[in-house]
Amino acid sequence: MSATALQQNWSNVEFASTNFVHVNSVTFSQGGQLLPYMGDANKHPTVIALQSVQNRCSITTSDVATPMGIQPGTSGTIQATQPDALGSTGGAINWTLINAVHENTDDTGNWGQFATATATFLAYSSDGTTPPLSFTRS
Amino acid sequence: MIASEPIPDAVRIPESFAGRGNAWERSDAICALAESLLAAPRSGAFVRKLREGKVAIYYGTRSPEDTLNYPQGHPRMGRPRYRWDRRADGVELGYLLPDPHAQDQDPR
Repeated sequence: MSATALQQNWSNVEFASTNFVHVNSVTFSQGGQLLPYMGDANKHPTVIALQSVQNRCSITTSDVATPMGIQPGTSGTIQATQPDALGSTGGAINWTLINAVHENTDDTGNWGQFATATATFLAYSSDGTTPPLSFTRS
Repeated sequence: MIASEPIPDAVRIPESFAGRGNAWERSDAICALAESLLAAPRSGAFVRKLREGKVAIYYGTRSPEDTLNYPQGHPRMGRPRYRWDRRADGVELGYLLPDPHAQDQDPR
């Protein structure tokens, strides 16, 4: 079966060798930030420059104790696999975010619902040029 | 790749090598080419997308920790880590420059 080019759910999610289970959502963000220029009588930007790129990640899990146990400021590598929607061999995407620094975790529990916790990470570049976010095929 | 050609430590692949498929097929094509050039196993080429002006370049290495330039705190901070050989087709093969400050030289 060939790859569907559709990704569904997450597997093998970990940060600094800490494995995340009961994962509900993972978001990898390129984190681009734009700087628009306007001057004179402009009401719309006439130039938009890419100001910075700050790769980010957030992980939401129902295993709230795991991310709540990570201290803000802790750094490590995040790995996560986004499987092919129909499980085709070779159809998954493996994401790796190095130099990820844990920013914060919010633990939320609503009455009558499973609790969730969302951990957010901001990654730095070792040389200021190379993106910390990379991918491999499966 | 010619058999006698040394295996590079890094590659820079223009986006044109991604082909005309859908986004997944394009990513797969870049990863496959990077794996081949780096003599890496399947899933063994870590690829980052760089934008240089209006051109997209894929930088691939065998480790996600690799960087284009020497890292912050290194005596050569900000200077290129590789010597780049540009092939006729536009692919660039990168070879790590000798690092006199490295404590553990890469044996490759």
